[in-house]
Amino acid sequence: MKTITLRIFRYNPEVDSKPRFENYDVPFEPKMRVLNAIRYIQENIDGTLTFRWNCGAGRCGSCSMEVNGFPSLTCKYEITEEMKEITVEPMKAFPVIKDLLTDVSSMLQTAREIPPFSPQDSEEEFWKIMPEDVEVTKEFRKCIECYLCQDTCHVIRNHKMNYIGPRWVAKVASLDKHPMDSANRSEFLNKRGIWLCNVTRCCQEVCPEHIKITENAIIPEKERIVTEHSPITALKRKIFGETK
Amino acid sequence: MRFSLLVIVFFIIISGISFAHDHPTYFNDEGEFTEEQPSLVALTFYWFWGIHDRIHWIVIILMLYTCYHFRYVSGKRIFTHPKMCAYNDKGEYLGESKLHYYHRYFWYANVFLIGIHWSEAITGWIFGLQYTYKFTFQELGIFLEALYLITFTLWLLSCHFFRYFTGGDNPCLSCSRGGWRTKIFQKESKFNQYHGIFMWSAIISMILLLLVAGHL
Repeated sequence: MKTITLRIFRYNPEVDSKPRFENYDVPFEPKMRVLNAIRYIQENIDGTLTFRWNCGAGRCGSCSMEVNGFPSLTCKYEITEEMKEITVEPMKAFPVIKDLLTDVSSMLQTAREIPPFSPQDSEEEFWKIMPEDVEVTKEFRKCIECYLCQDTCHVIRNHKMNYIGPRWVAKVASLDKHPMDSANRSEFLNKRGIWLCNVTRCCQEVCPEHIKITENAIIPEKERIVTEHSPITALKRKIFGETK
Repeated sequence: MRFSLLVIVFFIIISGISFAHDHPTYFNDEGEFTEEQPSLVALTFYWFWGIHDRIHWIVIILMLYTCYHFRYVSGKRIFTHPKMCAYNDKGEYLGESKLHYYHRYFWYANVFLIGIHWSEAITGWIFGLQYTYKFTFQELGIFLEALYLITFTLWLLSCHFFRYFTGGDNPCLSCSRGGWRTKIFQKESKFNQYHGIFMWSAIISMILLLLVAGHL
């Protein structure tokens, strides 16, 4: 039977002084995913291996790890017959709890910081929103919060700067593009370093939902900030008063 | 604010230089050369032309430098910052500068300048008047001039800022009568996907045109 070798990152902060890699041989099966191989190791070879997973179908975004150095959803990463050795590591942008499990609680904190959806005052009982307006924000609502975009973003991953990250710029864009929203989030994004992004488009390359984060969220949000600070907007405000 | 002030000062200096050096040469009614003070209209016209000549390339270079596609290409492919996605690069961070805020203003200026170039070229093609460029090979020059004008216009029209302007800034696209804004935004979004191709074609055709015209 053909086997493949998985080189797995192992680290238990309570016991180990530094991380190490351990090799495990796993029997190969056609159409096998990396997550299947990791689960095989946990169930048959080493029960102490720790990792997070839930649906196994690319819908929950729990099994994000780095496969051969690239941020991936392990449940969607197919192992092919040509592969001999596969390296699996935890996401580098987040602190490791144990083995392949990372602490993403900081993301929840960031989510709380975003100015919430603030509906305009409306006398109508029901909001009427046309399909084309729904379509614009629908793309961002496909996000499964796997945080692969945050992990691949070199501003966060390598330089540890005060950048909110692509996931949250997409969230802000989804709120800003809502026809009934009245909040202004430009100053928030400005403070949270949106200008640190130098449009490498890595976030949209790794997105399992193929959301065009750079094109449809980051660039329009940058343009929105520039508009906020433009002399034309200042003039408009003077004439017509405060607008979103 | 400080940058805006610098830009204004720069334009004033350039205007001064243009005004000082770009004296039009005049011929009187007998066809003799004269350096008499020209009329105010002619003077204003020449003064403007002098500025146009000098700022043209600066404005194009600034628009290129602040272009989103160029930022992508220069950051990722030329300066390898980062070398590739998820690469463990530990060097100094080269983020964006405040100059990038001004992309739209360079875009406005280029729209104005390309309008002038189109009018010059069309006038030249139709009426056979003197070309702006002195071509070494006239036919090739005309072809390259047309290519430059078309590709440059496409680069401008597929700009990310223009896409934002057509609909990205508006959370209620359907509010326009007949949904014309949705249609424009959707078309512009498709067009925007080829922004990189248009950018490179515009630059290449511009360089070829300058080579043929003997400016390089």
